[in-house]
Amino acid sequence: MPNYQEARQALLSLVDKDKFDKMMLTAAIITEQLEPLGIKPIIVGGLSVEIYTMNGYTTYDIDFVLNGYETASQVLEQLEFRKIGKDYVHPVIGVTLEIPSNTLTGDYDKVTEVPVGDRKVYVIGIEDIILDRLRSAVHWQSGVDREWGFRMLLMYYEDIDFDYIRSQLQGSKEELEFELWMSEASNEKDGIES
Amino acid sequence: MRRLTLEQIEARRNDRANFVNQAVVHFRAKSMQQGWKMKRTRPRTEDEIRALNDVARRTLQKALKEGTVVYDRERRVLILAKLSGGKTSSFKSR
Repeated sequence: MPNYQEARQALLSLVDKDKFDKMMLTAAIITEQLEPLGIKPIIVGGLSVEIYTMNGYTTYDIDFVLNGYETASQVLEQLEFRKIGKDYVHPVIGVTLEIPSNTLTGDYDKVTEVPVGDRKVYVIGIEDIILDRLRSAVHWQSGVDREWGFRMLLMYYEDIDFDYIRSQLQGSKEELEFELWMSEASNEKDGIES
Repeated sequence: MRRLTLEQIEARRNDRANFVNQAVVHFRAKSMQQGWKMKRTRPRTEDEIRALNDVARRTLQKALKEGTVVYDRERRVLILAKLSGGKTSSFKSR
């Protein structure tokens, strides 16, 4: 049985934390409340970029992909989040939260578990967030997302499942863009190693 | 499932900071030459805009209440208290 009172207090205690800590701890508290109900929220979007780059990127909301939207919505209301359209805002700590989808655009096996104190959060796999930024670059012509995707590719180069990324690319524009990133990354690495 | 601690991510970032930052600078320069725009182009949904506006409004109201942001009546601007030269706020937040 979730302990909403304790969770509400834990959320209120975050009011003076810095933005990243506040968002991480909020996500961890919500995860702790939802998991016993069979709901596994996975952080996607900007916060996942911020986690993988450790504060390099700045985002202002938490995007969760989760099954069981109705139950999650009830839990968020119990935790004193206010619903604004499809988004939720905690009026005291100033954290906004969105549930853009109930299915992950990506592989559940590649999700990363990140401990946050005694709690934890789940984050979309590194390959899938790179794919997300790459698609944003290709389809929205977003130079910023392109750069963050490339940065994560470099940071996690040795651990990335490139076969998986290539298997997920859709269409020649995405394939071309990814191979360009790979070529740039390879050039940079050769420059360092030579 | 993978497991990564924030400390591991931070160590990775610090270990590779020089290489990654340098590579990203090169990549950005090439991107801009190719006409890429370094600003957000992905649109926000209406609900996202409303939620972010709500948070921004509350953050400003809190800062005014706490005195970390003050209203400079002469210049009719909001400024950080530490840069205000001792001027006090007369701004009433609703």
